[in-house]
Amino acid sequence: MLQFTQVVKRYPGGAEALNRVSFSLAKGEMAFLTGPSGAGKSTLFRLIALMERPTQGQIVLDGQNLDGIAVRKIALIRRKLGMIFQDYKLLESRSVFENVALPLIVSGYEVDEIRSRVHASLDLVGLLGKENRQPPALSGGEQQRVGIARALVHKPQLIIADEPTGNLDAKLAVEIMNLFVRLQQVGITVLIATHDQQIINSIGGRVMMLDNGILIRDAVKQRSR
Amino acid sequence: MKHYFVLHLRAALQSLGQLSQKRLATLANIIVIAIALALPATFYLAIQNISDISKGLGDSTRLTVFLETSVNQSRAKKIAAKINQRTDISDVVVISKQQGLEELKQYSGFADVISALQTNPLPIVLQVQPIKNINSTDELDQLMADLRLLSGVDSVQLDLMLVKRLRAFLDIGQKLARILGVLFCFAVVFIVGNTIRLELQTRHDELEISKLMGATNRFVRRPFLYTGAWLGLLGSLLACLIVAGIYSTMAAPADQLAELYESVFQLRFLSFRDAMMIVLAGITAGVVGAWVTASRHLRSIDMQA
Repeated sequence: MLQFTQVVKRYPGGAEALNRVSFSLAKGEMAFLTGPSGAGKSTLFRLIALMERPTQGQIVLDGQNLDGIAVRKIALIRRKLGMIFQDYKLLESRSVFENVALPLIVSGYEVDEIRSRVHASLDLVGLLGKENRQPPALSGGEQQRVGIARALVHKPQLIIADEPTGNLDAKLAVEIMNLFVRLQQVGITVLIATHDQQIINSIGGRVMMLDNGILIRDAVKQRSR
Repeated sequence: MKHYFVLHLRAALQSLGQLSQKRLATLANIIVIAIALALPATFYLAIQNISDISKGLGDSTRLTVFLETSVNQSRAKKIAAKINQRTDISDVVVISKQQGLEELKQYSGFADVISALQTNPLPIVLQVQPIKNINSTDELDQLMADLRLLSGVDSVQLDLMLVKRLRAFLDIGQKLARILGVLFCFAVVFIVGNTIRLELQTRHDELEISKLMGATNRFVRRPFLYTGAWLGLLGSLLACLIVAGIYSTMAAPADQLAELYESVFQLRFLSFRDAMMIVLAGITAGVVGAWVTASRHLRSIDMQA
């Protein structure tokens, strides 16, 4: 589903955010991406989301080489992704419903389909009844859940989540992680960036560790009891 | 097809909603666009009306035919009758030598001197009125040449130079009206473009998020194109109203002036076709301004990728 081959990302001035990173994620696989701040996790996600281009190397997503992809095709690639951002990236002047519906609206879904999918998505994250509120009126955790609902609503092939449980309480964080596990079980590929060792320990699975832009570890961690 | 229609309807209503939220700014933009379109439209209309006046030059264009001094009254009437038979002549009036002398006494200011003359040196004069349909100076030139060839005619006079100068001014005026129209349309493009640019800057984050969610440039740009179209439409409709206001102010004085010149001229208003051209120009300029600005902004977002 996702393959990084010797990917380098260098910024003007010489700062190297990623240094020859190589890994692959199979369809339906779930992996955690960890590392200290500045390790390159966000840069890796930005490359997958085509918010930036690699300086060197190759990224293949669902069999499609992202290298040199035309600007007009970027939108279609992004529709395969479900993105959860650390800073939520919600439309503050729109309602929760409109925020969650956005991936469906831009993809041209019918109104009835949009309504039913948005409600289902909000139900999954426990936000039914708050469709008409706007993000500023929600808590950080609720805004995070709106972002998660938006990432799931169009049934993406790959979910990339940057600290999806960062603002959630422990109980809710576990619920959300279990949701990701259920999605993975139905064939959706999930890549989660997180500092939360407790979450990783409770779920277990593949853990990739970045440090100074280098992938220093890629191993399976057993679920701790 | 239905889905495509729904997308456009949504974008059109969304943009109208956005405009109505900032009523003062929207109204200011509409007024500026209306003035920009009304100015060349009014100038164009003025030129059209002056052109209409010049087309009726046959009404007030009278030829003065001076007969040879040897021609007597009877022969003058025969010459007048012959000229009147022409299809391009509507009327011929014979001014006798005595009538001519009396008019000269009345208008020259030399009545005493003229009264002292032993003989009347003036010839018989024919006032020849061409038909109304004579439009071109070429036709008048030809008519004068024909009259000169008649036996007994000494000379024919008409101040054609005035007519030619007026026609030349009208040609310049019409060209200037077109140039001004194009220039002011460009002005509308820039006005709308600037409005859209401000809107894009305000909604930059929203656009970025929409594109991250898989929105194409076409999807993101669509509401802004409708904003440009709405501004162009409303501005051009207001422009037509402004021109109508100017027309209603000028109509009565123009009618009075025409009456004083014994003319049936009536001030012409914008035709339906002209009004539609103004509206079309406004909408087109608005859409073009929005397209250029929105596309540039979206390219700057894409270039970060």
